[in-house]
Amino acid sequence: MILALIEKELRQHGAMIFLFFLLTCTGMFLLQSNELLSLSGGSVLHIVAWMLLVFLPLGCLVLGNALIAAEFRQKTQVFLDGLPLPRWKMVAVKYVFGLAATQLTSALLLGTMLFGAWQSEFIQWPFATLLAIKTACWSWFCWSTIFALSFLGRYRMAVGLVVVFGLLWAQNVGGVLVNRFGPFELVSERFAYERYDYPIKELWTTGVIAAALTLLGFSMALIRDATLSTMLSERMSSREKLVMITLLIAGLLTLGAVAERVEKVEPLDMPDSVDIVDELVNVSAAAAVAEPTEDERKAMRLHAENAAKTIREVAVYLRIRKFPPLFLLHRRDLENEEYQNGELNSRQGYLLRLNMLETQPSSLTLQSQVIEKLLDANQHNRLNSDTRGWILKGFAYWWPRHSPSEPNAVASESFANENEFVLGQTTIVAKNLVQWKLFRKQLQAEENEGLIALVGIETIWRQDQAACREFLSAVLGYAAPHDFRASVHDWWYSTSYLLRTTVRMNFEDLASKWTSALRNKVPGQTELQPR
Amino acid sequence: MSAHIEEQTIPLAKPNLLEARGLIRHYGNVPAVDGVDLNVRSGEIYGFLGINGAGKTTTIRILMGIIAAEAGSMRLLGETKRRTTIKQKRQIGYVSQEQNFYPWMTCRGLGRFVGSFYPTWDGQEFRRLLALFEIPETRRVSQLSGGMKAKLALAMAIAPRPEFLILDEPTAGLDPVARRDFMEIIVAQARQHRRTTFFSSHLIDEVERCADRIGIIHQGRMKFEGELSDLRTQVKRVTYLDQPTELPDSFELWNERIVESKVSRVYRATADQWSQLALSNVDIVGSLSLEEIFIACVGAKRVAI
Repeated sequence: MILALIEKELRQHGAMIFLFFLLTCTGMFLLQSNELLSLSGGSVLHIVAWMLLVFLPLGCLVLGNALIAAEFRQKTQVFLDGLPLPRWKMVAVKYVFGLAATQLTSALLLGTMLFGAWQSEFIQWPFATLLAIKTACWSWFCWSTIFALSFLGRYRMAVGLVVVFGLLWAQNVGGVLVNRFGPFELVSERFAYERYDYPIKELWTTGVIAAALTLLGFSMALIRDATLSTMLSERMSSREKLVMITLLIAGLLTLGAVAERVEKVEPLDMPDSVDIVDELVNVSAAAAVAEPTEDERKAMRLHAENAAKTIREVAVYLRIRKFPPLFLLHRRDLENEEYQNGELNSRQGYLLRLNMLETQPSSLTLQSQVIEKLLDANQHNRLNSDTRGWILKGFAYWWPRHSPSEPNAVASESFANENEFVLGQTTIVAKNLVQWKLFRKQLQAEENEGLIALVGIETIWRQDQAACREFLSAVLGYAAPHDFRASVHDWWYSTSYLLRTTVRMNFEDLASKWTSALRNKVPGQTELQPR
Repeated sequence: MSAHIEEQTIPLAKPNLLEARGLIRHYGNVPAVDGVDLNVRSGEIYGFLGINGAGKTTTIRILMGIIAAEAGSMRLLGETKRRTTIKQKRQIGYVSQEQNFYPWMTCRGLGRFVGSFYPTWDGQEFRRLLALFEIPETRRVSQLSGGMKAKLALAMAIAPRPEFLILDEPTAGLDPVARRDFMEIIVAQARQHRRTTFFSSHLIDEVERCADRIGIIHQGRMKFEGELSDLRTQVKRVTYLDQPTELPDSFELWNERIVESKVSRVYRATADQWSQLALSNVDIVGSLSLEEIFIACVGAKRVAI
């Protein structure tokens, strides 16, 4: 009985699914071999994430339409109902068939890309397993969603569009981190880079949602003898179509209008402020006092100029077109090196309260604070939610302390000595790359987040700049950046791209060079010893 | 195509193959079936008569277990179940009102697919029926005419050699010739194999020609169930000379017509009641054709012309 149903589905949809698989394989091979596309994604695995996010749901939509919606629309389910066949078996076969096709497609998608990228990317079995689990879970979620939607008949597209637009609206306008939620987190930009941390919570959330949607689909198909699904499967009347199109247009217009209004953020106005505005920076310094003294005015000017200079240098170095505005507010009640963050969102900029008479404009802490917060605002406050956020923090820590003449080298020996206590308490194992990455996991305390940057600098101090790159590549878990810029610029100026274009070697070659370099540096020893 | 019709005498006092009591099913707030009772005897051809929307298809869908009755009981093929089971369905051949087959399948492929659900499926019989109905085995369903699709459905309903054949307006949409052909086949099959056949229709001549017993359903309720001769004996028209007189309560008024102030009424009562009735103010007490009875039963209660 079940075999007959499976055979029927295969005969009916087999050609379409085969074509789907063929397109997937061909497409992935083409994309994988296309230099430009792979570069724009940084890692070629970004393409997998993108395909899973866009291509797979579309494929599921086609499949759901063919397997379920068309069955109801053409009333062939009435014919099946007349046969001695329990309805639940009919629905279950469709569900399992669709799930298998979806899983197979996504497995092909990932497998093809992993196969092609095995040489160019640093791929190990644990990483491949993690990717496979994420892919399988996401695929289940996709199919379950489409499965449930398909029983909504003529309203399935409308409901689907409302959900998609709603999520986009929540993400872009409402400020909700949809891409950090359950299933979407699985195929976020971390997909290509996260190699060790299993997103247990997200996997659970996705599983629960997928199970609930599956249950909903089965309920629609079985409760009241699928009367509701049968009614919904009727074609839309002209009036209904008109109403739907009108609602869609109205919804889109409303969404656009709301988005535009929300995007227009009121600028922060600080009266009597010292403003430095040019194409790269926008710095304002003001005093939270009724009548600022002459010394306070001078301090405000000095702080503004110094901050503007620092930001300008960072912007040039990181190739950032323009930073969000910086607002410095003088408060007499604060102590030296005492800072208070203001309540601004990332679009408005960053507000920092300090005592400008007590705190020197050249303060390293002040500069680190300003750089970190502006980088965070520039990245839409992703610093704490992104697993690579520590790089920005490390950069912010490192920048004020680096030598301007040699950006990637340590300023002085004294700097390393200053931080000896940090390194001295940590045994940094460089036996192999995996241990380097495991070490990264040990760095959970916030105060240690800059340590990686320090270790990189320490490596330069002990060895050379190339070793630092290799060290970073090991710590990052993916292709080594030429310098910090690659890390900050996410995927548009990706590490693997820079690796290929600047270092001109594959990651594995680089990794092996790093390991052998360490061995050669200290014969018989593969560990960096704390001083 | 030639269908051999073999007339046989149906023995009396046969057991009921189907007994349904008080079946109820609503669509939203609308009662599609509102307390239907059915008695289908073994080996008979039962005509289920009703206008469009009377509740015929809903009743049949309940009998087939496609939908569940909200209330009522059903004894089918010797088993009393709340809903028709898969086991019972395997003993029933079913032809639905619309033939929603997979258009991409060939007739042979469709037969193979349907056959996989019936342990008693007779592939040879299916092919024989296809040949008898002049349906090419290799032709796709999408290339069949409405009449051929109906015959294909009948072949698939008969091939498992079911005890009970249920047909839901099988001739709907067919031309008169095809319709007659089709019904002849059904009657021949039923008589030849003593197969209990339950078919619904809104075509009176079809029911009159083929059915041993009939049931009339209207607005979800059974108005009559019995043999055709009983119906003719029980339902009569009374035409009054002047002002109508009321008949006893045991006479069920089905319809009243007033034509040029002349009143005629259709009543239903037992043969004994009719024979005992003595009326003075009556022009004529006449028997009716099935069509007239049906119209009186399901048409407007009162018509004035």
